[in-house]
Amino acid sequence: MKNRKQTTKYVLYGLLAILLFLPMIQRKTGFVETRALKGVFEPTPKPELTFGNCKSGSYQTQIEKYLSENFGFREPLIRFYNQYAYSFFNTTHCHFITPGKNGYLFYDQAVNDYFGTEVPKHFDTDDDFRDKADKEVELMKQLQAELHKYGIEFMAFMAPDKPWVYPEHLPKHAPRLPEAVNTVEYYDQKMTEAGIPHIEMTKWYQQMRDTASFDIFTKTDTHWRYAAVYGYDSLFRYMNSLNDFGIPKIHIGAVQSYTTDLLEGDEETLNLMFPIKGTSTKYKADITIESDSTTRKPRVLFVGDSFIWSLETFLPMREILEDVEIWFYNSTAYIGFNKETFKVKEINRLASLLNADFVVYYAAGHQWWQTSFGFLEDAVEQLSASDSIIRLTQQMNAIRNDKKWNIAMQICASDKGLNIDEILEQEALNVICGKPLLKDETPIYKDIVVKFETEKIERNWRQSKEVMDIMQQKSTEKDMPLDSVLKSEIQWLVLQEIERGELVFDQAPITDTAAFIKAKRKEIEKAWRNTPEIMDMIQEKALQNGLPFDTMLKRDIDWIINQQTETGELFLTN
Amino acid sequence: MVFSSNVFLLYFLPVFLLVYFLMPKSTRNYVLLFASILFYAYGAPEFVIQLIVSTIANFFLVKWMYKAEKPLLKKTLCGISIAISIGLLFFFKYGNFTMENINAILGWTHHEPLKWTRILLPIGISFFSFQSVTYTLDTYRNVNKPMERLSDYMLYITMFPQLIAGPIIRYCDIADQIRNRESLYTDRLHGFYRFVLGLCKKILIADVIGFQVDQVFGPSNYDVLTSAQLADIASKIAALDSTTAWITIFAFTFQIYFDFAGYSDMAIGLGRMMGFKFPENFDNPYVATTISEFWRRWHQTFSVFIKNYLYFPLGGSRVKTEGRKYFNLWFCFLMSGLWHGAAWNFVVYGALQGMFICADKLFLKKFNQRLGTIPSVFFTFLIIVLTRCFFRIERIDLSWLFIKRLFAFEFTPFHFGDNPHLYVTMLVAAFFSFFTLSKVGLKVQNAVYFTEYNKKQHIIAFCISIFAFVFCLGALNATGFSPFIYFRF
Repeated sequence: MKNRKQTTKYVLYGLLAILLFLPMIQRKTGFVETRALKGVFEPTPKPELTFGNCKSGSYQTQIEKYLSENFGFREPLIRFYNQYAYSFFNTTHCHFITPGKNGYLFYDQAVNDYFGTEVPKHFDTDDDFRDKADKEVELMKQLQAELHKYGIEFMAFMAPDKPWVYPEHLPKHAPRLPEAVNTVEYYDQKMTEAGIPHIEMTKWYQQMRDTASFDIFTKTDTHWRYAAVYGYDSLFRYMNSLNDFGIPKIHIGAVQSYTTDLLEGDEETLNLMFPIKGTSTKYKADITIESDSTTRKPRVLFVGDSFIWSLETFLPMREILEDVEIWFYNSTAYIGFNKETFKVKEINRLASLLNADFVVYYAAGHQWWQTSFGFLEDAVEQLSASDSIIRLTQQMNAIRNDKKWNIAMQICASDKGLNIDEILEQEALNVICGKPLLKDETPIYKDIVVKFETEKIERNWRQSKEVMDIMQQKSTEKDMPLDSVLKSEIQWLVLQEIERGELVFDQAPITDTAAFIKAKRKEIEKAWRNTPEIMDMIQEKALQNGLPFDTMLKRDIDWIINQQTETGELFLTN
Repeated sequence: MVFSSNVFLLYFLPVFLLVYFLMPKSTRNYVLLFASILFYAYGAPEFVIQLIVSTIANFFLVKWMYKAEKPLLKKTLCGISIAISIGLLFFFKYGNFTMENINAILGWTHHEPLKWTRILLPIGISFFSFQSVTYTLDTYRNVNKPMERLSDYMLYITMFPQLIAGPIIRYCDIADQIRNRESLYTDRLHGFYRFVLGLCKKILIADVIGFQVDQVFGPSNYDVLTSAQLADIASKIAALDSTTAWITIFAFTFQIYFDFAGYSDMAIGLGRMMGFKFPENFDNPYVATTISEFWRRWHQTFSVFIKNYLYFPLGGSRVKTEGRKYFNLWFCFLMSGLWHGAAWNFVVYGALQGMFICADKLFLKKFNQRLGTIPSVFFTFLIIVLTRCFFRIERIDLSWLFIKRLFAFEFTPFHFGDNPHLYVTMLVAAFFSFFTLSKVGLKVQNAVYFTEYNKKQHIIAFCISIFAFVFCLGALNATGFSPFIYFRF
C-alpha cells in the first residue's frame, strides 16, 4: 500500500517535471500547432548581452519581455484567459475595444463620447471645447476659400458612431450626462452656419437601422463595414453636386447575407478561443459603377481616421477615383492605389493639396473633439505660399500626372542620383522658364517601366511591417523563400497595372524571340539548380513519373516558359 | 526577478529544480546558493557585490565574536556586526529620506541645502539585513552556534525563495535545516501546491484588484512621479465620489493581503520543495477581533522579529511604569511603520497602529469583547482599512484628502455591471479573508495547508494545481498582451 502511494507521488512528480518543461519543448520543436495571436503589437527584439546593459538592468528588462513573447503555448494560454475574462466578465485586454451587451463590440472612445465623458477628459471646460471647435470651423472656411481659388472643393464628412446607432447594446448603466456636449451636433451646427459642405452620417444611420434588412454596423466590429457603401455613395454624390464634376455613379444592389467562419477584424483582435455567438452572418452589397464618356474620375485627398479603409474594401476605388491620397490622422500619408507610405510632414503637402480635385476631411463622431489633427492650420499655411511657388508646384503636378513624363523623370533622377522631387522641380522650372527639358524623346520601353515600378513597390512593401507580415505568412504557407514570394506578388501586381493601362511605355520590337526564349530557359535552369528545394522537388517528381532527372527538369522549364509566354509575363523582365 | 514572472515560472524554476534534484545531496546547497546569487544579480546586478561582501564580513565577525572570551570584545564585535547590517539598511533605505528632511529644515532656516545624490534601494535589503541581525544576536545570546561554512551562511542570507520579501527567517529557526534536511516527494508536491496557491493569490486576486487601485492612487512609489503626475493623482482623488473611494480602499486592503500572503505562500512552497520548513507569515489576519490580534496574525515573522529584537531589548512590558510600557509598544510600531518605507506616511501609519495597540491594551479590547466576535472582527477590519490610506498613499496631504472623500458621503449608485471582474474578485477575496471565521472554514484551511494527503487527495490537488498554474500563466500573459486594433492596414 505504502509503495503504491509512493509510486503515485513519483508519477505525479515526474509529470510535474515534464509539464514545467513543456513550454520550452514547444518553443523549440513546435510539436503542437497553435493559432497565432491577432492585433498590432511591437515585438521585442532579442537583446544583446553585454556587461554594460546587464549591469544597468536594461538587458534583464528586454530579455524578460522577449522571453515573455516567445515561449511555447503562449497563444493558447492567452486565448484561454481572454475567453474566461470575456465569457464571465465581458471584459477584454484589447486596447480600445469595449464589449457591450449581446456580443456587440464598441470602440471605447466612441462609448465615452456617447456618455459625454470624452470631452471632459481633454478640455478643462465645455467652453474650451467650443472655442476650439469654433476656431477649427473658421480654419475650414479659410481653407475652403483658398482651395476654391484653384478650383478645388473642400468638404467634411462625419462618419457614424456605433454607440449612437445601437445604444441598447452599450455596456454601461449610467445615462448620458444631460449637460454633456454633443461634439457631432456642435460641429454640424457650426459648419452649417459657416457654409462648409459636409455630411453627418449618424442621424441617417439611426433612421436607417429600423428599416434596413441588415445590421448597419457589424455586431463584432467597431468600424462600419458593408453599410459604409451607402455612406460613400452619399459622399460621392455630394461631392458631385458641389461642382458637377461628373464622378462615376455607384449603384448599390441588394445587400446579401452569407455565412463564413472568418471573424471580423475587431473580434479577431480579442484573441478568444471561440467566436462570439451569433456572429457568423456577414453581408455584402452588390456594387456596380456607371461610367461613360461624360464621367470624370476625381483625384481626392482624404484626411482623417481609420473609417476610410472600408472605401477600398467595399468599393472598386480605381473605377471611381483617378488617384487618391490618404493622410491617416494627418500623420502617415498613403499615396496612390498602391499606398506608397510616407510621413505626412515629409511629403510636399502643397503639391498634394493642389493636385486634388477634392479635399475631404473626415472622421467618426467621437474623433471630432480633436479635429483636425493639425491638418487645417497646416493646409492654410501651405496655401499661403507665393504665386511663383504655387505655379511651380502646379507644374510639378502636371509632370507627375503625365505618366510617361513622370517615368522619364524617375529615370533621370536615378541616373543623376537625385531625389525625384528635386528633378521634378528642375523640370518644372525648365518648363516655366522655357529652357530645354530634361525629358528627351528616347523611347521608354516596358522593361524600364516595369523595373521602376517593381523597385518602387518592393521598396514600399519592405517598409511596411503589415505587408511584410503577410508575405512572411504566405512564404510559410507556400514553403517558399520570402524573397521569392515577394517577387512573385509584385510581378502579379505589376501585370495587373499593365492590364489596366496604368503603366505607360513605348512598344519595343522583339527581334529574335527564339533566342530570347532560349536565353530565358537557361536563366531559369540556372536559378533552379541553385535552389536545393526546387531540385529536391523535381527529383521527387522524376521518381514519381519514372523519368530521368534532366528530362523532368526540361519538361518543367518548358511548362513554365509556355505559361509565361501565354500570359506575357515572360517578357516582363526583358 | 519576481516569482510571478514568465522568466521565473517558465525558465528559472524548471531549470533550477531539474539541476537541484539531479545533483547529489552534498552539492545541492551550492546549487541553491549559486541560483540565489544569480536570482539576486538578475534583479539588482549593481548591488550583488555589496550583498556578498557584507555577508562575508558579517560571517567572520560573528565567528570571531563567538570565539571571543572577553565580554567587552564580544559585545563590541556584536555591535559592529549589527552596525554593518543596520547601517547599510539605514544608508540605502533612509539616506534619501533623511537628507530630504535635513534639507527641508535647512531651507526653512534659510541655509544652503546639502548636496546629495539620490541612491537606489537594493531590493530585499530590509529582509536580509534583519536576517543577518538575527544571526548575530542568536549567536551572541548562545541560542545557536555560528555556522562553520561561509557557503552555509551565505545560503541562509541569500536563499532566493525568501530573499526579496521574506518570510524573515530567524537563524535559530533554520540553522539545522541548512545542513540537514530531507526533501521527500510528498514535500516537493506539497511545496508545489502551496506555491501555486500563492501564485493564484497574487495573479488572480491581488493583481486584478491592484489594477483598480492604481487607477485611483497611481503607482505605489510616488518617488518616481513628477509634480504634474502628483497633481493629476490629487485631482483624481479630489474628484472621487464616496462609493468609489470606499471600494478603492477596500480593494487595496484585500490587494495588500493577497499580494503579500501570496508571495509568502510561494516562498514557503518553494522552500518546502527543497525540504525547508519556513515559518508561516500570515494567519488569516482579517478575522482578528482586536488590533493586537491582527498584528499577531499579520506578517508574523516580522512581528516576532520586532518583539524579540526590539521590544524585549527595550524592556518589553517588564518596565517600571505603565507609561514606559505603552511607549515601548508605540515605539515598536512606529519603527515597524518606518521599516515599511522611508516616508512620513509610513511614520504616521506606524504611529496610528501603535496608538491603536495602546488603546487596545487600555480599553478597546474590552470594548470589542463586549461587541461579540463578528462585530469586533468587522470593527477591527474597519480600523485596518482606514489606516491603510496612510500606507498606500505616499503623501500625507493626499491621504487626508482621500479620507475626506471617504467621509464626504457623496455616494453614487453602485452598478455591479460596471466592473464585474473587479467586484467578483473582491467578493472572492472577502470570502477567503473571512473564511476561517467559521469552524468549517478553519477545518478546511488546516486540511489543505497542514495535513498529509492520501493518494486520491494528491491526484486531486495535483490536477487543481496544474490547472491553476496554467490559468495563472494565461492571466499573467493575457493582461500583459494588449494589442492595438488600429494601425492595421
